Amino acid sequence: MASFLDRSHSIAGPGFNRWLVPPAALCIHLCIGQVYAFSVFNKPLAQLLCTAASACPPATAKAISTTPGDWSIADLGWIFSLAILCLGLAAAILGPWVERVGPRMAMFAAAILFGAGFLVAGFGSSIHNLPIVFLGYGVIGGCGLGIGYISPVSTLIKWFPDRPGLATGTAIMGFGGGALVGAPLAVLLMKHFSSATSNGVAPTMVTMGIIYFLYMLVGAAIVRLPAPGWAPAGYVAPTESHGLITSGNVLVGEAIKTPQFWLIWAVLFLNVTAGIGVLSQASLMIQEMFGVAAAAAAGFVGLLSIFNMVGRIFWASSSDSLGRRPTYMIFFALGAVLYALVPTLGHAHALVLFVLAYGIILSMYGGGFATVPAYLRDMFGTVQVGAIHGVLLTAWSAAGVAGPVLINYIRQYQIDHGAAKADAYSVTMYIMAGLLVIGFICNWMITPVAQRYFLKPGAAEAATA
Amino acid sequence: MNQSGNTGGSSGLGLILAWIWVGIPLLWGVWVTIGNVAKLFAPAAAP
Repeated sequence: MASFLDRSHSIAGPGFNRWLVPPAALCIHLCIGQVYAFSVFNKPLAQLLCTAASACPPATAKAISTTPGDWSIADLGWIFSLAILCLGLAAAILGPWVERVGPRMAMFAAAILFGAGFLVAGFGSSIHNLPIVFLGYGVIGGCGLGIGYISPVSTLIKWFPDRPGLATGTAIMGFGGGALVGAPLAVLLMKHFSSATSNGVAPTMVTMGIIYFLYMLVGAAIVRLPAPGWAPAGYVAPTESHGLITSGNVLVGEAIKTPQFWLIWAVLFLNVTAGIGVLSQASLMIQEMFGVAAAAAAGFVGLLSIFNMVGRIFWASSSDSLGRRPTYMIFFALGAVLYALVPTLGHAHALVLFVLAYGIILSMYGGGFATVPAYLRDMFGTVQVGAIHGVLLTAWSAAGVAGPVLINYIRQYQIDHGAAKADAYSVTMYIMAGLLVIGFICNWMITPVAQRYFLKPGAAEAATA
Repeated sequence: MNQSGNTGGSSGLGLILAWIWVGIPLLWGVWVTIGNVAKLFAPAAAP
């Protein structure tokens, strides 16, 4: 078993079809993308005790359940935050390990951790112990998320040197699609397992853990590394750097010393902060601005998820021809304009244009995630791009805290100072537009990496050995 | 440099099965989501 997982045993034989690698990556990302749909468990988890007593009163404005001992939504919100925090930390710390052991071992580890995270969280909810749920889904599952997220990235870049944006965009599109699958799957299973005294959340978590583990194993079995020196037919690797695209390689330890790495970190952080802040409030926002019902608001969130998913493959593959820096220029310039327009569209009650504006914004949010591995590959080469990408994902963790806090705090501040609920988002949107202007400047400042950071010729082979 | 085409010995059937394996759940998720999206525009369509 251990040898099957070895890097040396996952090298493709002659004639292997490289188009088998994107579905292998999708097997992982479709599962771990479920994290975006974790909120589907919030209400059932908040009603465990009252459901057990068959006495759940209607939710109030302050609490889903008023039964003493039931968890609050604020407490449950930490599960998602912990998972995203652990995703960033695991990706940053374990990135070099993932590069060393290869994608199959890394995917296997991700499958175990993500599946076990669900099992432990299911156990925690069955005995109504919140720290165990935190440990399970937040910490153990979060580490699986981090390893799983980066595990196929450098492999795809090596298989598709001619179209790195398309390749990584396909995998990371799966992460966006994971929520579309995870949410209805959880609803179906909870309905199946529910009874008069249980809402079925614990067995649902256990079942999902097993399903996701097995599904991810298929990805680990399919994935292959290209043989050393392999290249697609007709592809000629550049021998000289041109523009921001290097022909050399930078190790992760050196990459984090460069200003370019931190500028890309800022680019990702600002793009994600703006997008995640809106995502976290999308349902409430459209209800308060347009007065639509909760079910219709859920449809709006679903539509944003589709734009988020499609944007990942559209923008990342477009960046192969547009270039990475111009692609991010579009994200920030168009994004700033759209954010600034949103309050006007809200006041004009232009629902279709409002939805379209947010759809484009969310497509660029997803596009930012999916294009960044290829950006890193252009700047730092392929040898440790997975590890460098892992460290960069700390920007996501930071944005995962900053975005929702920023949008919630500003909204509450305005309501406390007399603003109508429907108007309380205007200042927030203008601040988000401002953040994107800063992102534009950061992206504009990115220049080629100085020669002193690059590996000497011939050292790249030793670094991958 | 060792070069190869996009296709080869690992069968086309395996490739199709792999894409079906990931495509079916993804399409199911998109289908269910689109069903919910219809609710967003339903009130606007009502007379």
